[in-house]
Amino acid sequence: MRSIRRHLSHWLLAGMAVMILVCGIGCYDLVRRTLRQRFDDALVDKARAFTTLVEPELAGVEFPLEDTLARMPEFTREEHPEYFELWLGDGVSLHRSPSLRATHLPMRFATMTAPELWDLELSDGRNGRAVGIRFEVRERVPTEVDPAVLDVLRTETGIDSGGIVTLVMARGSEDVDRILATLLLALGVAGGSLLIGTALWVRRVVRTGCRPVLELAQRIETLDVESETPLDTGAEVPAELRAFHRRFQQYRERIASSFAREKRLTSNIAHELRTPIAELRTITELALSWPGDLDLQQKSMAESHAIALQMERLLRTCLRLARLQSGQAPLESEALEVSSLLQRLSRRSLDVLEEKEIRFEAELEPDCICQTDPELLELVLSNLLDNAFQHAPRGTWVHVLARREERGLRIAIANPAEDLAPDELPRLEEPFWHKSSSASHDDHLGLGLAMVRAASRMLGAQFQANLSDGRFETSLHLVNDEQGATG
Amino acid sequence: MRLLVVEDSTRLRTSLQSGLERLGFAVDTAADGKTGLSLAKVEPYDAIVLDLMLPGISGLDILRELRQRGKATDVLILSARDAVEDRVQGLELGADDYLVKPFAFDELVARLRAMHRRKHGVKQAVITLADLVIEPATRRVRRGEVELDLTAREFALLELLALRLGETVSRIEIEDKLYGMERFPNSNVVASTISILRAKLGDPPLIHTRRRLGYVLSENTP
Repeated sequence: MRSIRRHLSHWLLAGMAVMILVCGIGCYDLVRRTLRQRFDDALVDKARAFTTLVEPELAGVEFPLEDTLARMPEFTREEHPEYFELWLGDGVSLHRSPSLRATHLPMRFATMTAPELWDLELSDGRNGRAVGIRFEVRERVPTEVDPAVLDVLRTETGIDSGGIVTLVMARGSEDVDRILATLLLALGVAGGSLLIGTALWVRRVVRTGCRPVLELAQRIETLDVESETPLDTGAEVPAELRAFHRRFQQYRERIASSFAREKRLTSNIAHELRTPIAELRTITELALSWPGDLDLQQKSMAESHAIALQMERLLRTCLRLARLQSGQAPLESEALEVSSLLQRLSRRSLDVLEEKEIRFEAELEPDCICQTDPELLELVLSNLLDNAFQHAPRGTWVHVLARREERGLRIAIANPAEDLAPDELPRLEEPFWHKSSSASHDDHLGLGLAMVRAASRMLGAQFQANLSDGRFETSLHLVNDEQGATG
Repeated sequence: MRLLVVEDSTRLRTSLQSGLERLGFAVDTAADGKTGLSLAKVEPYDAIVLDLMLPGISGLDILRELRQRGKATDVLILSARDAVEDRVQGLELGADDYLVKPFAFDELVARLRAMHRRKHGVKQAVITLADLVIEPATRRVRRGEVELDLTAREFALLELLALRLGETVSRIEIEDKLYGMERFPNSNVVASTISILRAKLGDPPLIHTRRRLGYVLSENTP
């Protein structure tokens, strides 16, 4: 399993290590090049200066190189000496530094302006650096020198006027090497320390930074899934986790609410069944206790039959609700005049209206035609009207509205509901919910609004229930389709 | 035994009334909490069969108010709520028994009778006086070896006197217990039933009249 903390730590550390390494290498290389360059420059300058020193002797009458060398003890000393060797153009070694003893330097050369430089192992085993220059000895004939003598010298030295000479000069690079080694060590130590420090710091920062995530994960891990208490995050939630935390709480509340509804539904279903079963049991037990009482027998049979029909109705309604909620009910589409439908449904409850002295107020626009499933719409409207008539207090009113609006057709049914509390509004659509705790609810199963919600969804209509200032209103919006029909 | 049945289910309420009256109980009914509480406060019931989930005032509220007023009437809760906490709550509030719906009618009757016996301190299931043996559970009465055939009302009257063995029970109380809110302008209905019962019980007489006081079931003349 991927770990954010480990991922961050590893990659941060790897990145830091690479940067430290690159910087260290760069730094070392820069210093090495600089030192080398300076070393080479010094060597080249010395070689050039040496050519200047020895050229007169080579071109002139005398060849007192020893005098020159006497002024340059580095070519004669025992410890860490420098070396040089001169060759004539044909490769004949003309002169070597005393430090070379019996050995020779390799003859490699380039021009004076761009001499050749190379690494080599010196005769004493040290690492060194050599420079090779080929230069031309120009004739300079002093006026006081006898030309005959000069000829002898030329013969003896082999150097003729205009002769080519090669100089190779070498010196040990131990100083540079030592500096570079020290630098390398210092860079290594510094880099290593930096890396260790970075590792510790990265670890701390990542741990601290990830702590809210880890704490949140731990709290979620130990959360009782059955509990409804909100998730306690302890300290303030970081900005990056706020959305997650908020959504998690919302989903948790929603799930808890669903579980609570499910529990209530199961309890309500059991409760709805208990009463008719208790009635059936008592009635049949009495009939069995007095088998000779014909009147009792007949009455018991009739009551038992009525209970069976009641339970059948309950079962059918539950099945219908289940089909509506699952979207399985088949949908028809017909043109339907809504105002006429509302009037017809209202007329069925005239006796209730009269008995309860309820004033029926209708605002029904003519020609409110919509394309819809007539059976489902009738189911919705009859449930809403029945609820309104049933729950409107005696001597009050029920208001029904049907009218065309820009977005479609609006149907609204309202009644006074002073005893309905705002926190009960979300429960109205729960199957089997009743405001009264009484077990017997006559013919009202408490499934009406649940079916209205499910049927509305199938019709593509928007259903709302609102409570305001003691006025309870249910409304249905049948939205226009592309052709202008409503459904 | 005079009962009040407070139950909002019409079918159940009428069935219980019918069945209990057939067994000799005097039964009054109430379909809602308010009516039930009013009756319970005023009338002298031997027991109340009380549903919990009632329109208006709940059964528990009725029970709570009765006990707060010092009413010691036996209460048997009859409810669909079967959770332990519901039963505990009902009993803790002062109910004497708790029966969960659906229930056996015979069990309801047996529990009501048991409550009644407890109330009168009668532990045994059979009441005996001389050679008279009364079995309330089976509603059988024997005098010596002879089984007596009594109507429900006659048995209820005999049981009432037997539970108050040696005590004088007034005519008015007998009317209350046997006939409930049914009132008879002719006050001889009790005397008439007593007379029939005496005849069936035979000699030596066990039911004695105490002039202006009432009747007493006793082996000896008071």
